[in-house]
Amino acid sequence: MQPAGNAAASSAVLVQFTVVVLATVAVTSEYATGSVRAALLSVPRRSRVHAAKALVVAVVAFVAGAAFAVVGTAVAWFGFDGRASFSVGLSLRQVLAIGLYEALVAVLSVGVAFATRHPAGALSILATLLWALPSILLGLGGPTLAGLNGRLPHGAGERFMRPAAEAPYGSVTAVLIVAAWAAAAHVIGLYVLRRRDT
Amino acid sequence: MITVRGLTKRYGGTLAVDGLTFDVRAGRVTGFLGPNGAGKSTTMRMILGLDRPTLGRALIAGRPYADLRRPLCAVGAMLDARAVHPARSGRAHLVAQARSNGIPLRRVDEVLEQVGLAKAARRPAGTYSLGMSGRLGVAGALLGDPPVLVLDEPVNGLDPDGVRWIRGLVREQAAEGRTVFLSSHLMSEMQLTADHLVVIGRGRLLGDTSMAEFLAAASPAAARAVVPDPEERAALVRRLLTADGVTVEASESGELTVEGRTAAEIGDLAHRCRVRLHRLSDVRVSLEQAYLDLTARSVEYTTGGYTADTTAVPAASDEGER
Ligand SMILES: Nc1ncnc2c1ncn2[C@@H]1O[C@H](COP(=O)(O)OP(=O)(O)OP(=O)(O)O)[C@@H](O)[C@H]1O
Ligand SMILES: [Mg+2]
Repeated sequence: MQPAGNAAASSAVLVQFTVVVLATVAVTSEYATGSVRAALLSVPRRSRVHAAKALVVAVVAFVAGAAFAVVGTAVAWFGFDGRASFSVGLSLRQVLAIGLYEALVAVLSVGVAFATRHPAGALSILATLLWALPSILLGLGGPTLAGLNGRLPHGAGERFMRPAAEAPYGSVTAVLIVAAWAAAAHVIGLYVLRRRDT
Repeated sequence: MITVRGLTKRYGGTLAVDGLTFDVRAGRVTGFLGPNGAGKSTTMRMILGLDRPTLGRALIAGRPYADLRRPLCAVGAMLDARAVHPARSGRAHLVAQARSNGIPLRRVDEVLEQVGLAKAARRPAGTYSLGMSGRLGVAGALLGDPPVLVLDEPVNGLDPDGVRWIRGLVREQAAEGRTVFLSSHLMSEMQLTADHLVVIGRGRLLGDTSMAEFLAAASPAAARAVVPDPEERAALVRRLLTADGVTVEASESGELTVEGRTAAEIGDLAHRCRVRLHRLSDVRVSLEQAYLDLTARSVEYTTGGYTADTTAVPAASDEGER
């Protein structure tokens, strides 16, 4: 029997779509309208502007992800009608894990959006990283490619949103992998914001 | 006080700003002139830390913009009036800026009142007319009550009332001892507003002088006189032409245009030769004419024209290849 929260965890891939789009647009719309100049004139320290954006979007994504997980778990619990297990401890853990995952995806998206400045560019990169690559790797199959997928943000996210016994690494490592992706994107975004003209 | 030293900006192949060095001093309005694409906006963006100079630096009160602790209280800037998130209300736009710089929110309502946007303050900025956007831009620049103002074409899109209001505003700010640096293509307006001029062309400094000197340098003394009596007119012209460097043009209506003499000199001369004058006035060159003369002299901007120095280089290399 699966924990009811797994249903919510499986569809985190769909919620992440919303998070990615919103996080991207939160940054690129500032470039499209030129209001980023007003922001940089008010706060010339690039790291602050970038961090503030990432923080706000991450908090929204966390709340949205967690709220969605609560609803999803409840729906699954009633829907599966006794064919799914439910424990408060595990469910709470899953809800927080999904929230955390969405928050990290939001930070990742903000970094990519600051690096590209255009929604088309940012969304292409993010869609490749979060959807296309995992589908290709898993579709081709084989332990090497599956292992590689486990190092991508969504593959690693699955590992801590839906803990399974056979995972090659633990939840903490999984969180660190996703966080490393988010941190890398953040650093690249900040580098571009610092170096490029506005 | 704004200090610009060797400021240079290259965008790929174009040298937008080329080694500019000048100061913008406090207590006067400094006009920033130059043809389209001369590099005015680029220079202002570099002063405001938005574009990174390729070479050189721009300092505000001795510090780079990025080092200012509460920048809106040190420099008020208006670059592109339309650069506001269209869904945000004008007030929300200013509130965000005020919050980030520790400016009390009552100041937001004050500046909205001051620029005449109080009624439209809660409407989305995307619904503003060009002139209203301009007013919001000015409100943003005034928000922190800064000692330095940098305004890129602030009268663009304003109605005549607005144009006059900006003129009064910047003159008042300069009179209070603030530094005002503004660009505009409206020469007649600039002539009334600015005390000092920085003129650039093709990214290079063409002039950095007071308005009075700029106009004086462009126009040798000249005056117009109306002499009703034809004989007296001929006598006066003869006397005028005895001096070197004086030219006289007579129109059919009997009006003389004299270059190389001021109205005072002609008046004295007419008095001595007992010539009756009906009208006598100095001819003042307009800023527009002075500016056009300068840019035409120093190059190339005439549509489709080329400079001696730009054509010289490729021509020489062409020959080398042949
Ligand atoms: N981001 C950019 N990328 C490439 N070239 C640029 C960029 N910004 C400006 N330029 C070029 O730099 C030059 C100077 O442009 P700038 O906007 O500073 O001129 P300007 O003096 O403000 O002109 P205008 O009077 O039309 O406003 C132009 O040739 C312009 O094409
Ligand atoms: Mg410009």
